[in-house]
Amino acid sequence: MTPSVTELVESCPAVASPPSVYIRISEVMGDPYSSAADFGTVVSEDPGLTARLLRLVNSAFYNLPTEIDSVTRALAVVGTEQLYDLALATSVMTMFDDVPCELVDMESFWRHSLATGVACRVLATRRGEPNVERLFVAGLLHDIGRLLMLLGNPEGAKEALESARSGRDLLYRVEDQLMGYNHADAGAALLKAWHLPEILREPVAKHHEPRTAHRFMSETAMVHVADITAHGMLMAGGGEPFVPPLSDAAWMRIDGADLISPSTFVDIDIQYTAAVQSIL
Amino acid sequence: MPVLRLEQLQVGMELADDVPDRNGQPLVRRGTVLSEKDLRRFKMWGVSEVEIVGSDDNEIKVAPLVIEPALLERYRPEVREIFQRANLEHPFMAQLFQESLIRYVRQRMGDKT
Repeated sequence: MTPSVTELVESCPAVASPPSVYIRISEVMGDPYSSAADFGTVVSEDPGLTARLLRLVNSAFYNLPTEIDSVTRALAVVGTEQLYDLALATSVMTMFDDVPCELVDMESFWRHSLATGVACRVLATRRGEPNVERLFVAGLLHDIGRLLMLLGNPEGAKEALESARSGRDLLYRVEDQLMGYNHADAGAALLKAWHLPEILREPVAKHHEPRTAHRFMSETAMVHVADITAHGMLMAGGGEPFVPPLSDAAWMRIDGADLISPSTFVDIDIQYTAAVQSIL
Repeated sequence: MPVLRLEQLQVGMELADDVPDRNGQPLVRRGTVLSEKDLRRFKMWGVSEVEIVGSDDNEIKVAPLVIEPALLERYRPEVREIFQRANLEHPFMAQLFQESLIRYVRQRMGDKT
């Protein structure tokens, strides 16, 4: 019996709530009387997170002229919202370290996720988005539902993977046929359980069917194009063996003609290397 | 010689002048044919523009790819496999396919050495 997406989330208590450090940071962010110093204190209590964040901020992600050696300094230079999103990205990756996932090569999974996050960040930068880290997180989390399916319904997930590998159809369509929902739906359900905002949930939910997005169309289109780009750049596929087709609607939405240049791929490559070295 | 901004540079272009780092020391010497590593270094050092060999009217000299065309042809069918469900008639997908093919060949060549 295939579990519903809700049952899937409930059956995985280890991941059914967001990373605890992220909950504490969210409390600080939501408290009008808190300051950057409070944010810094919460992050600093987690030395692993602090180290990863500082590595990322000092990498080719930002190309800063001087070294940032504290969270407080990073908050001032990079911005609170931005660092909040980077903290989410980093802590989610660590959270799954403790989760046994024999069916999937976790490094390969996160490589594809990081590549998509970075590609999305590059697209967002070219499009002049105010907070590119928001798009980085959306891209990073786009396939998170696959981990949930592997944890909560390993047999179903395995059958879908094998079927997609044998060339039957794209993974998300095979999942739809076998379970009535796909990893994008599962991911969105998980992010909902985490109380993450819709600007992250909708792009994850619709990244294979961007034309069905109705609130965050640009964000969804960017995650869609970023996922395909990461696949095409052969930065680990994370389970899907084929490059998915590009949606014309998504392409028109991001008005991407100027992205058709080798420099787009060079930028993605540089930031991908930086992200892998800093937080994987 | 044309001066190009960092984002306009491509692998295979030749430097018309030394590119100094922030202390004025040469980071990459004139005459160097740019590799991806050089582009990465420029980015890391915050180099914003460099002078490239070529005439100013867009005729910039790009060295031929170090990958032999025969190798690209040999692996093209394998990369086509990966793209079998993609819409290659779309210009972005066509460009992505080219990028993919070059990366695929490089990965294969890297495996052998």
